[in-house]
This record gives sequence, structure tokens and C-alpha cells, in this order.
Amino acid sequence: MKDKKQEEHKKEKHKANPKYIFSKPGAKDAKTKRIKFKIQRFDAAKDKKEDAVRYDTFELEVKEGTTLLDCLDLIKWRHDGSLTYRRNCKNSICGSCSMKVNKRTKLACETQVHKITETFCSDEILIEPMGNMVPVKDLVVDMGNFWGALHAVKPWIIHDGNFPEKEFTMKKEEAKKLDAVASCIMCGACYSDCNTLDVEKRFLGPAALAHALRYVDDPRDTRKKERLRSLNKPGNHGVWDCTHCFACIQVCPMKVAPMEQILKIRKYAQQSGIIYTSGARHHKAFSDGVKHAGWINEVTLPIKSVGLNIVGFFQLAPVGMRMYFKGKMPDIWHKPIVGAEEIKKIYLELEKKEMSNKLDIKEPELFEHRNPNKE
Amino acid sequence: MANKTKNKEEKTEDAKSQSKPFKYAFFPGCVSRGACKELYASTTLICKHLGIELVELKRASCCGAGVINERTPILGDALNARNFAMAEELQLPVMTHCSTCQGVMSKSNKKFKENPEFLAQINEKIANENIQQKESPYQQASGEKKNNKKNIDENNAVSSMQENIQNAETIINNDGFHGNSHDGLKYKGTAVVKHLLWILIADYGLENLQKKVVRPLAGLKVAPFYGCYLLRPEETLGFESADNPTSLDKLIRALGAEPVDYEGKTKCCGFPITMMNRNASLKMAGKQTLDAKDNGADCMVTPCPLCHLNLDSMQPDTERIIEKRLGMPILHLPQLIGLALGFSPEELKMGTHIVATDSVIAKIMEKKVAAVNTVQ
Ligand code: SF4
Ligand code: SF4
Ligand code: FES
Repeated sequence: MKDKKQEEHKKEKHKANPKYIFSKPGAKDAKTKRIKFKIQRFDAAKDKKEDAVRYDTFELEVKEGTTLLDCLDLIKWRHDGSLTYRRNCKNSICGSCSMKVNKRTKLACETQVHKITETFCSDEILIEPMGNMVPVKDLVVDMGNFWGALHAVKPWIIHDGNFPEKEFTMKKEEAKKLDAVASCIMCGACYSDCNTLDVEKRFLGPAALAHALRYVDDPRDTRKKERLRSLNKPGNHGVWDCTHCFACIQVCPMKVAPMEQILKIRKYAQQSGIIYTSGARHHKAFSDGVKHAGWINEVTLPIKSVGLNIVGFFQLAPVGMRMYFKGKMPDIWHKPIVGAEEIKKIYLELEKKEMSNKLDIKEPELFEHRNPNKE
Repeated sequence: MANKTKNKEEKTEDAKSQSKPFKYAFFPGCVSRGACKELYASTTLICKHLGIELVELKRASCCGAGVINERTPILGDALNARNFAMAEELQLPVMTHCSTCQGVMSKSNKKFKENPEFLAQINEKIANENIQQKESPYQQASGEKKNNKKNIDENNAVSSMQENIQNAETIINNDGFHGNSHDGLKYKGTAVVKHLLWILIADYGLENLQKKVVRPLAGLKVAPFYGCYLLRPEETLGFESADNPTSLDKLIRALGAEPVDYEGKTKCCGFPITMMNRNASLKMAGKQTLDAKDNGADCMVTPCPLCHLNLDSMQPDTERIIEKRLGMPILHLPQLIGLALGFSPEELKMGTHIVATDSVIAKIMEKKVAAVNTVQ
């Protein structure tokens, strides 16, 4: 019986356009669905660039609950041993199996195939290697830039040498602050889907910046200020290059919420007086506008943000002119909203205290990270 | 087919059971009163036409736009709590027409709903502020009006909004008062915030919208630009899948046009870093626009005025940076709807765009189905 089946598979395999059909053993009553996997293959050895990339389609009878990695393994073991991808733990802990599933980066070992077909209302699934990285073979990419960025933020404790007499002690809350980033499994999913990296290769990226915060927050590290300065320096393509797109929060399998960590670095920097960046100037001008009128002042905001930057100013001027002639220019006189005084009072109550970190209110964390040790 | 009729029945029942059908506390946000006035004009115009009643939250402050919320997050939340409290007092769900406002407000609201202690602390701060408020000169001037004619005022505001609907600026300059007494203002944590797009799909119903379409946009290929704030992260927004959103596609289809599928539809327009890394910002805008163009789009539609600024107002600069001609008209969501409802491009203030929208208008006017006059 088994032989017969294998024969059939072989026959299928030798057809011009390879399409393999087979089923995976599983619970008897589980629902099955025939699913097409369109997989990007990449062979750098090919002479011509056009030949290097091709797509192979495999058709599988898939039982409910089966993960994408199970399917890839089946394809590799039974039908095309040359299919190359990374995997190891099958338990969303090693971070090696990330790939693009219908253009979103996911861990293959925790992605259920049926759920993907439901979300996308289609029984065809497109599998591609991660983005923002150089492909090596099929679904394997060179993560060099990812590691390089991580290295650049110095993800180790730097101490000035005045060590405590006994061991370092840490308060519970202090230790808790480090947890979210500590649960990162370095899978690269956030890097792969980052919108800024898509157009700015020098950007350090979400994972590295999240790790940077972990060391800024570590009470044992004595270089907090230098770290913040370096992460804010425009030429370093650090925190201010992040376009606030939430993609890293959405895709991170461990819920590290890298963007939230980036925003914390921006906040710390502004609190500790690193305010010479266009980002900090923009934030201050924005906030001041609301403080005085209850809403933003779009006329002065861009001008205040570029500061004493002649190039920046000449880039702005044509935009302003263009908008003026189309009647799109906001009113020059920034009229306060009704009740602007109430808003000013909230500012007086909170702004200074919060900027100097003296507020007695703690901001709740919205995103709870996954704890691999507890699962 | 059977399914379809069943759905319809459910929808109408829903509408009946709703005590206040299609009435919302309107949060216009800053941009629709500044650089994108055409958005304010078209939202109010189509809502009136569809029978969606809006009570504008005139005392509401900026939501923080992710900027205040990042520099001073607690201050940002306090501003939002104050805004939510005003909607709560009107007992109306909040309507936004800006993805950024929606994203920021949803995030704040989630914090409040999940952390009552935090909400209590914030309430203390905004209440303090209101006790001091009694001495403010503004309060004295308007106090009499407020106490005596509270209800009348509210009604007036709504009707004056309807009268002035054609002239959005008039409403903004009107010193109308909305929301009851703001002494000891307190947010109880019950506000619901919805984007216009969500309201049209989940509350109003696309079948009902379709009934009002007099100028189907047949033949027009529209690229939906979902952007970031309306989708991600699913934990705070959750209206639809961030991986495969369909709301704008469905709406475009309901208006008779054809949605264009392209990868850039859920990517970022680049606006947030326009001041920090101009080059990257415009490259992002260019990449998504070019993607839409390569997939055959006649125009793009966006539910966010900030996306509109980067995609439309900056398009000439973008073209220079990516060294390609784009010429892609960018429409605000209510403008596209307005066209299908039979409003003229002038009423929808489409002449204020930086990229001319003539090509879109020419395409739909060819297939004029009903005279514009019959609408009014
Ligand atoms: S939020 Fe910032 S870091 Fe995260 S994916 Fe977007 S641009 Fe990249
Ligand atoms: S932050 Fe999340 S997505 Fe990014 S590498 Fe770490 S675990 Fe992966
Ligand atoms: S195989 Fe280790 S995370 Fe998927």
C-alpha cells in the first residue's frame, strides 16, 4: 500500500510543472484542506539574475492544526531535498524559522496553515525569504546587517569600574523593566518588516534599538547618557529614523514591542536634555502649540522643527508656497480652541513634572511580552 | 443569495434597536481644521447626506498625534481622558476621520479600560484642573450661557452644523459649546471611538450606503491606502486583520469602483519622519505610490489626512527624489464617497489638492448615471 503511494508521488514529481500531493498523518477527525504552497527559490550560483529567483508550487492535503514548518519539512523530506530553510527548535524559541508568509514575516513553527488560509481567504500561500536582508539560498538569508546593528548598540554592560563591594543588587521594578527585551529571540521578523529599513538601509532597526533600551534601563550600566546621545545622533540613524509604523509590534512573535522601546529612548533623551535633534525640536514645538491653543500650529511647527537649518528651510519654502496657492495653507493666526485654558492647566499640572520624571503616576504597559521560560 | 438577504435583515434590525441611530460625537482633529480643510468639508457633507448626525466636540484638544504621547505619555493620556469624558457626557460614541487620531485614541482608551487605577489617577489631574477653571475669565463670560441654555445650545449646535454644512469654516469659527458642565470632569472609561470607515461598515452598513449611490464609480480603479494607524497593532485597534485588511476594498466596491491590490497598501506613507529623515520619508511615499501606479490605479484613497499630506502635498518633492513621474491623485475617504453620492468636485473641495484630480473626475463624469441636481 505504502509503496503504491510512493510510486504515485514519484510519477507526480516527474511532471514538467511539479505539483505534489500527499497527506500528513494526524488526528483522524481533523479537518483537511488542499493547500497550495508557492515557495520562492533562490540560487545565487545562477549566472543571470533573472534565473536566480523562481517560484515552485507544491500542493498538500493539510490537516487542521498543522504548522507551516511541518509542511515545509514534508516537502523537503519526501519531495524536494534541495529546498533550503532554517529551523531548529520547532517551539518558537530559537528564532531561526522566520520567513515571509503572504508578505508578513512569521515563525514557520508557530504559524498554523489553516489559520493563514482563513485570514487571507485563499488556499494558496506565498512563502518568501525575510525582507531587508540579502538572500543566500531559497528561504535562507544573510542576517549580517541585523547582527551588525545589534553589535553597534553595544549590547553588553559597560561599567566605569567603581564596582560595589559585594554583588550588584537590583530592585524588583528595575529588573522587571528589562524583561520585555530579554524575551527577544533574535528572529529578525521585526527587521524584515520594518518600513524605514525598506528605504533606509543605515537605520539600526527595531530589535537593535530595543536592546539598546535594555542597557539604558540597566541600573548596572554607567554609560546611560552616552548611550542616549549616540542613539539620538542623526548621523547614526538611531531612534529618530523610526517612522512609527507599528509593524515591529505587530509581527514580533515574543511581543517585545520594539517600537514602544524606541519611543522610550526618545522620551528619556528629551527628559535628559538631548534636545538638539530635529525630532526633539519637532516634539517640543508640537507640544507647545497644543499647550497654548489646544491644537497644533501647522504654520510654525515645520519652521521650528528645522531650526537654524538653512537647507531644511529652503526645502520647506516651496511646500508652503504650493499649499498657499491651493488654499491649503493653515490660517496664519492660530486660533485657540474653546476651552484652551483648561488644556493649559492640564499642561501646567503635568508637563514639567513628567519631563523631569517627578510624576507620581506610572504609565501602564500596553503590550505584555511573552515569557519563553514560563511557556 | 439567501445569505445576503439574511444579512440585510440583521442590519436593519440592528439599526432599529440602536437607541440613537447614527449619531456621533465628532472629533475632527487638528489637520482637518488646518492643512486639510477639504477633509472636514467632505466628511460633514456626506454625513449630513447619509443621515449621520454629528455633534462636534469643539472643546476637545489635540489627541497628541503620537507626538505628545511619546514625549510626555501621561500628559497625552490626560488630554485624551478629557476628550473622552466630554463624549461620555453626551452619551455618544466618538467619530474620528483620521487614522492617526483613531490609533492614538484607541491606544489611550485601552490603557484606561484595562487599568482603572491609572484612570483614577488621571481623573484626579483633570478634575483638579477644572476646579481651578472656575476662576478663568473665559468661564465667567460663557458661564451664564452655559447654565441657562445648555440643552438648547446643544441642539443649536447640531442644527447650526447642518445649516452650515456647506461651509465648514463657519462651523469652526463658531464659538459653540458642546458637552455639559466641565466642573470636576471625570472619565468613567466607557467611551467608544470609531473611525468613519468603521462606522460606515459596521454601523451604517454598506448595503445602505450603496442605496444612496447615484453616480457609481464604474471603471475607476482605486488603490486603497490603509497605512499604519488604522490597522496596527491589532491588540489596540482590532477592527480587522492587520495582515489582510478588507474594509476599504469593500467600501470601494460598494461605490461601484474597482479596488486595486498592491503590496504597499498596508505600508507607511513616511509622514512621521518627514522632519527627521526627509529623504527616507519621501522615498517611502514614492515607493507606495509607484506600487499603486504600477498596478494600474487611477487614484489612491486614504482614511488619514497625514497620509494625504505626504502622498499629495509632498508629491512634487517625492517625484524629484525617486526620479519618476507619479501624477497620482490622492483622495480623502469621504471625497471618494461624496463623488459616488453625486456631490460635485467643488463641493468636495477637490481643487485644493496639490496633485490635480481632473483625471479622476473626467473618468467618472463620462459615466454620469444621474444628474447631480437630483441629489440636492
Ligand atoms: S515602528 Fe519603527 S522600528 Fe518598528 S517597524 Fe516601524 S519604522 Fe521600523
Ligand atoms: S524583537 Fe521580536 S521580532 Fe524582533 S528579533 Fe526580537 S523576537 Fe524577533
Ligand atoms: S524553529 Fe525555532 S523558532 Fe521556529
